[in-house]
Amino acid sequence: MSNHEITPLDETLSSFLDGELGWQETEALLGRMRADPALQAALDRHHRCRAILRDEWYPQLDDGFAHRVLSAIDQEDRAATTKLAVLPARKRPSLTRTVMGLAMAASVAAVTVLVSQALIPAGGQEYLANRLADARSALRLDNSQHWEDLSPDAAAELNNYLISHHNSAIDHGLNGTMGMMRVASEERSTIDWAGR
Amino acid sequence: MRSLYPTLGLLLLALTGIAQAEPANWLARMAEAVRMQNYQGVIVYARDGRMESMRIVHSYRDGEEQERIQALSGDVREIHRNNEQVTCILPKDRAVKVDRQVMRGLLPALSKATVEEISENYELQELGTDKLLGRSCRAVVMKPRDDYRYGYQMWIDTETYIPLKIELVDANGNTLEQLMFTEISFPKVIHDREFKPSVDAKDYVWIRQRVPTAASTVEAQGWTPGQLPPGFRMVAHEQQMMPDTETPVEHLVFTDGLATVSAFVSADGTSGKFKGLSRRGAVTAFGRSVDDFHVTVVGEVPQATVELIANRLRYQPALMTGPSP
Repeated sequence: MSNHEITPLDETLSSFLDGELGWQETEALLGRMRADPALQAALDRHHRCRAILRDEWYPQLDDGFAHRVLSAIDQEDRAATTKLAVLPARKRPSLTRTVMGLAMAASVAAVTVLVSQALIPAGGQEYLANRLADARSALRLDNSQHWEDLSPDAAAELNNYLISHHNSAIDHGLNGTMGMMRVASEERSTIDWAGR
Repeated sequence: MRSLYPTLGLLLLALTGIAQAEPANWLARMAEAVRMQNYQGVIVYARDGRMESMRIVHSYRDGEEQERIQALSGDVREIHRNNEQVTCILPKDRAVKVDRQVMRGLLPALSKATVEEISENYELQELGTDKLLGRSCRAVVMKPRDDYRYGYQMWIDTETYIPLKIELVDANGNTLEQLMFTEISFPKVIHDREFKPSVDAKDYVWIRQRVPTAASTVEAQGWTPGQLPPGFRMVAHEQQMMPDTETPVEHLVFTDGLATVSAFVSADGTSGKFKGLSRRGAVTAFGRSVDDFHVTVVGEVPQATVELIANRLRYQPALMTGPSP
């Protein structure tokens, strides 16, 4: 019989992994984690236990889950700093979903090591590769850039792909509807095939 | 009383089928009309707050289609299409670009099989009749069954089955693109002179796109799409030369019967200038690097779809191919 009692910290870490912590609590926890290696180790243990219970634990993984989460958040913070700084704290979007997306991605990112090192059976690689792809998608912020704001080289490359897409896709689906209009509506020259 | 439930269930199923069949019939008849009718008029194409107007002439005679699209706003440009090729005339660049093309036309063309496929991914609804250009139209909606595709709304002329207006809408009902006739007529005969280019292009630079080479097998090329979003299937895989590249680019095409998505894979270093997410009207694009390659996915689909396809595209050379999961 276990004599481990569930502490408030256990509940906090569990809620964090479940994506159920509020925005302020999440920020507070992350702040404490940065300065407290013991707290990072506690999160690692919680994560490992959950993974084992879900039969998703691979011994080859190290215990750096918390470190990966913090690193991933730091990267996102650098990208989002300007956007968030101008908003009053009460209007900032909840970070919980973003953090959990990052946490999930950090976890699945570790699986990439296994995929690339072929440490898992070939039959499971596609499943894990799909999970990794889904984790990457879960990380996305609405940061799409308008075509016209791209660099000239990037815009030209994209325009060439778009023309090729319409020329091929016009044989399939309903793309004939708008496809030629999209190409024909381009005022800028999309022709760069001189000599080919 | 209990015995009525299966009957009611079957009746509901039948009614649902009928409800889907009616708009599907309209779409199928529209698909035939856009190929086999003579029509000419002015179309307005709108996206991102911009509007372009174009004159279109389309004829069908003895099994041959012919079409001319002439820009009426912005720089002068024309597109001529017939059963064999598409010719773009760009007077500003003093260039003519010629592509191999299977005639499909400006307006939607759908086979019966495609209409059935569309019904699996979209809920087809009829919204009643409306009037456009003084003509009676039937409004048909194709509502996506998930978030991996946009919706379409069409107003189909009840006499000729030509769509007079088409809108592409996102999940929030916002119109991403719109194509609408502002004038239209249906002559019995369209003379060849209507397809004569408005400019003399014989001194222009003529550029013929190299014919794509079909990839021998997907496995041989090593790129596989992974699990696709629901309802999408791969319909083409070929290699193409793109401007500013010395090596061919892999081009994979996917469709759900209505929307299409292309994935391009190039050797990194020869391209890869575009990274991340970008959007123009209804077209979304996503670019990322994968080892020594660069993947670009474009399509008239939401962000989630291009990202998912790009992120799941994998390189699996034949030597490393293991047993299927």
